[in-house]
Amino acid sequence: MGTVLKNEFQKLLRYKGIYIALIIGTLIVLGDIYYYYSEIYVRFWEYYNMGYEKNIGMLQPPVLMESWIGHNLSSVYSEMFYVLLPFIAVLPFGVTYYEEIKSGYMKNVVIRVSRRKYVLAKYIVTFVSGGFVCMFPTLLSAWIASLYLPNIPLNPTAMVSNVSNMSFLSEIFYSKPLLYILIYSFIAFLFGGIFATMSIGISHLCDNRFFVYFFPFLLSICTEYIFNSTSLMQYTPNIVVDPNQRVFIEDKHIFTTLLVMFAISVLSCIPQGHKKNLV
Amino acid sequence: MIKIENLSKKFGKTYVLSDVNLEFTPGMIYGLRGTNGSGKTMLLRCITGMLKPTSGRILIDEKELYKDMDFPENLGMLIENPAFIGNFTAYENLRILGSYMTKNPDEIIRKALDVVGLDPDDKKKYRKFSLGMKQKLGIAAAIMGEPDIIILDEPFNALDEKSLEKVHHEICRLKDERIIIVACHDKTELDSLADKIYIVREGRFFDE
Repeated sequence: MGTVLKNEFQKLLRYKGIYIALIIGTLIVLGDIYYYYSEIYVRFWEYYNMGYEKNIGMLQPPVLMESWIGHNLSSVYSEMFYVLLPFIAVLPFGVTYYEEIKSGYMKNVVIRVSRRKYVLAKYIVTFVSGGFVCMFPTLLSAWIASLYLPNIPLNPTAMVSNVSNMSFLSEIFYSKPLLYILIYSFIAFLFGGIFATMSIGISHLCDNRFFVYFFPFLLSICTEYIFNSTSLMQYTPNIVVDPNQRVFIEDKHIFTTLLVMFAISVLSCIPQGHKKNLV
Repeated sequence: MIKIENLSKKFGKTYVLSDVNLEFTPGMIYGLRGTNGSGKTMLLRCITGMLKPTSGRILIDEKELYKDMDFPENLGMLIENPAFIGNFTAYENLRILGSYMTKNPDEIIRKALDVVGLDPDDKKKYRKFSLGMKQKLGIAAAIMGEPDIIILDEPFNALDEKSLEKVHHEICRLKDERIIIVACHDKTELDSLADKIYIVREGRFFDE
C-alpha cells in the first residue's frame, strides 16, 4: 500500500491541477484582502480621523476575524470562495482516476497491484489534495490579515456577525477567534476532501471529462437549490462549510452533513475497487 | 500453461468469440492472425483479465481466471494503444510500474528500455513522444522484469526496422519457459516470429 500511495503522491505533485487550484485560491484571497483593506480598513480610519473618534466605541474596529475570508461579510470574494470550493477541490487530482481509466493506463497498474489498493490510494490522495487546496486559502487569508490587524475578538454588541450566542462554536467565535479560524479551516479541509473524492465515484458512470470536473460543484449547487426550499436548508453543504453561518447552524447540522457526504463518497468509490470489465 | 475451454463472449446478440478452445504452453511464441474485428483483441482482453467472458473458462496453471484470481500472475501486456502518464519521462513511467514488481526496479527498467532502443536518461516527457516511441515504451513495459506471460497486440505497427529486429530478437530470447502471444495482421511479421499461428475469423480460431 505504501508504494501505491507514494506513486500517487508523486503523480499529484507533477500535475498542474494542484498549482492551478492554489493560484485560484490565492487570487481570491488577495482580492478579498484588497477589498477589506480599501473599503473597510482605510474608511474606518478616515472616519476616525474626521473626528468621529468620540463615537468610535459604537463601531467595530478592524480586527483579524473581520478581514478573514471566512468572515468578510460584505466581500463577494468570500462568497465566491465558498461557492467555488467543490470545483477548486476537484482540480488537483479529482479527474486523474477518470483519465487513467479512459486512456487505458489503469490496465498497466491493475495487473501489477490490487485494484482495491489502487482505488484506496487514489481516494486518499484525492481527499488530501482536495482538502489541502480548500484549507490553504483560509489559512493564507488569516495569515495576511494577521500581518496588519490585531487578533481581538469581535464585539458581540457591534452586530457585525451572523454568529449568535446559540450558533455552532459561538463561544469560541467571541473569545478565541484564531481557534475558530483553525476549526473552520479544518472543516473546509474535510468538505474539500469529500467533494474531491466524489469525482472518483462518478468516473465510471459518465463519459465526459468536464462532467467529472464539475460534478461536485453541480451537486453542491443543486443541493443548495433544492434544500433551500425545504426544512433541510441547514444541511446544505455550501451553507454548512461557510464560517459566516448565513443561517442558524448547530453541531448536529455540521456533523450530519459531513457524515452523509462522507458515506456517499466512500460508498460510490467501493464498486470501483471490485472487479469490473476494464474495457 | 493457459487453457481456454469453450470460451464465448457476446455483446448484445453478437458473438465476438464463439466456443474457443485453445492451449498455450511455455517455451512457445503463439501468433494470432486475422483481420480487424475478427476477435484477436477480444481473446487477449479475456486472457489478461480485462474482459469477463460470457461463458467458458480460462485456466492459468490450474487456477481459473475471474474465479480464483482477478488477473494472471506475472503478466506483461500491450493491448491496443500504449497508455502512460503524459508528464513523466519513459524512465519515470516504468519506475512507477516497476515499483509494484520490485523494490529497486532500476536495473529491469534500463534493460527493458535498452531492448526497445529508448534512452533511460532522456528527459523528454511521454506526451511529446512520437507514435513509434510510445509503442516502444509500451513494449518495454510489457517485457519489463521478464514476466511469465507476455501478451502483445499489434506491437510492431509503428516500429522502425532496427527496433523491430531488436524486439524480435528479445522476444525469441524470452520465450524459454514463458508463454508469449502476439496478435498481428501482418503475415510476414508473424511467420518470422511465431512457432505456432492461429487464424482468427469471426470469433473462431483455426490452426494455420
